Amino acid sequence: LIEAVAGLLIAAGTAAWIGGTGADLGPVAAAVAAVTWALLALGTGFAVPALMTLGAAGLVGAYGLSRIGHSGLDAGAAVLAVVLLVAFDLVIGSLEARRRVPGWSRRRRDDWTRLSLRAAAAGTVAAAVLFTATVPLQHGIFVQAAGAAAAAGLLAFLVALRRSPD
Amino acid sequence: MTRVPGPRAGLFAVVGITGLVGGLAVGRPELVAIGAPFLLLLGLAHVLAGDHGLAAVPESGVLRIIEGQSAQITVTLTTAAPAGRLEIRAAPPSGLVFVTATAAGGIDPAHNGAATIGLPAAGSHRVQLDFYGSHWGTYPIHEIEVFRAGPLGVFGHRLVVPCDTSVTVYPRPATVRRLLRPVETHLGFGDLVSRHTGTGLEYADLREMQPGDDPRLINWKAAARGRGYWVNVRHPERNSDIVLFVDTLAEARRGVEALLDFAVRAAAGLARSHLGRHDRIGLVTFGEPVRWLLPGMGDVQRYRVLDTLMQSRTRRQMYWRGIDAIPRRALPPQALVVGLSPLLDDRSVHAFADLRGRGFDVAVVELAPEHFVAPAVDAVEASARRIWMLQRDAIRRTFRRHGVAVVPWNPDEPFETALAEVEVFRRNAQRARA
Repeated sequence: LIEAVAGLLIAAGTAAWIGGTGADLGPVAAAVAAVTWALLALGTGFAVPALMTLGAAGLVGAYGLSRIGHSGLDAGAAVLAVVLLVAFDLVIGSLEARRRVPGWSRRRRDDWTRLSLRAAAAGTVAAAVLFTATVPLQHGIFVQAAGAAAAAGLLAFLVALRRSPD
Repeated sequence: MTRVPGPRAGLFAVVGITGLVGGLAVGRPELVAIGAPFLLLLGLAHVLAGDHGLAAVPESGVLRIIEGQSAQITVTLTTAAPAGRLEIRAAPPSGLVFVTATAAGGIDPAHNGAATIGLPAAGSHRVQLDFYGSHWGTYPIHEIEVFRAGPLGVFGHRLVVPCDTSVTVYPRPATVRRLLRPVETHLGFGDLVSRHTGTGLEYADLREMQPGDDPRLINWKAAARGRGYWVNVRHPERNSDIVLFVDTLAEARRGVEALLDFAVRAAAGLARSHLGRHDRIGLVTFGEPVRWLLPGMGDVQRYRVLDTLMQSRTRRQMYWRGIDAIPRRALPPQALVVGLSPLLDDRSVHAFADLRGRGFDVAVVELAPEHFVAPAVDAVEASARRIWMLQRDAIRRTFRRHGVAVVPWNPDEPFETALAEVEVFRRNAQRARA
């Protein structure tokens, strides 16, 4: 229960921050953030992973809405990635702690060190992506082609992951 | 082994794709930066989640226990590398409960049919699964599932092993110390003192010695009085035929408790005790279908009785063949028929009357359904209940008038109490007839 409350509190703070930073679509982003946080809370309370997933994706979407109209790059995105990872990990961990997911009910809960390592890794990756976005690159068409290939490869990996019997 | 995604996998994938697609759609790299760590963790978890070459071989066979006892099934787990914590899941049908799993690392109580064990080293490990038999019946265990969660909690591996083990839980026999005495005995050797005279231990009478009598039977005290030689006459020790007549036509329930369960346990207790007295035991489960077991002796017969009893089910069916469906050999002449019935169905009431009319020695232990009925909440219900009780009392009186002992048994009390009452009634009835 502590994990669930902590995760939801962090997510609530994030939603509030997203709602407060909007420019043109500020009110819309705030509304989306509030609704998706409510979905996340409902999913956590009633142990429905699908609702939790919807709420988590919605929070990311709300952040995207809040960034529309801004010209500069938000360095806080790396922090947001870390915060969201911790929040989502905690709410999912609360399901395991409450033995609400068959098969995963007895998984040994990660300690704070492991969670911190994961958060640090997430922050590093997010920062690297943001840094890459700031670097001016020549041969734009090739970079775009490489990006498209990477995205397609990623999707292929996810599909393979989904369909693989082992 | 089959890789299975955990709840994190779906969430991480959806958040990662949302960030990636959203970033491309609105042209914001911040969204990609948010989604990328989730996708990276997903990929990393996929690489790290190995199955460790886990294999499991459960022992097969048929295990037999009595209600309230535990059965152990051993599973041999083999790993190519230290597998850490594993979850073992076994989901037998209700009536058999998976209680604990014991491995070298210790004992873990099962929760919702799953227990966790530790395999800290590679190699072969024996894991003992304990199952508690809470209700009589035959319970096949078709498969045992072994689950290992991946290190990042995103992917796991599931191994489903087919299992060819069946656990037979026999009913817990009711305690029966004093048994019913049948009116007639048979020629077989047993523990019952026959009414007739012959060769035996129990003294019966004296008679004048006849030519051909064994001199060892001479009663020397009587002979010393000088009136000739007298010999002891004795009662022989014989056995009898007992037919247990279990009514499965109707039953009453109180939560998980059913009258049929008590009838089966009482029948199991009677069978065990009568077989211990060298009686021949037969069985008729009177329902649809009507099942019977020809009278027999010994431990084999005991298990035959238990197996037949465990097939007893109460089933509402209008098709009815009646008592004529039972072959004559299943109801041998002069057998004592012990009925275990709630007397809720007219067909069973008529069957007992029919048996009595055919000259069988019948005694009925009535499993009183009154204790399974909710108390009346208003005057109408109270009146209806009173009328119902009067009707039941009338049935009992009719039976008793015809010499059939009908004694209500409250299943909350010992079965022996009801049996003692039956014996008292029968003794008094015999005296009255004499």
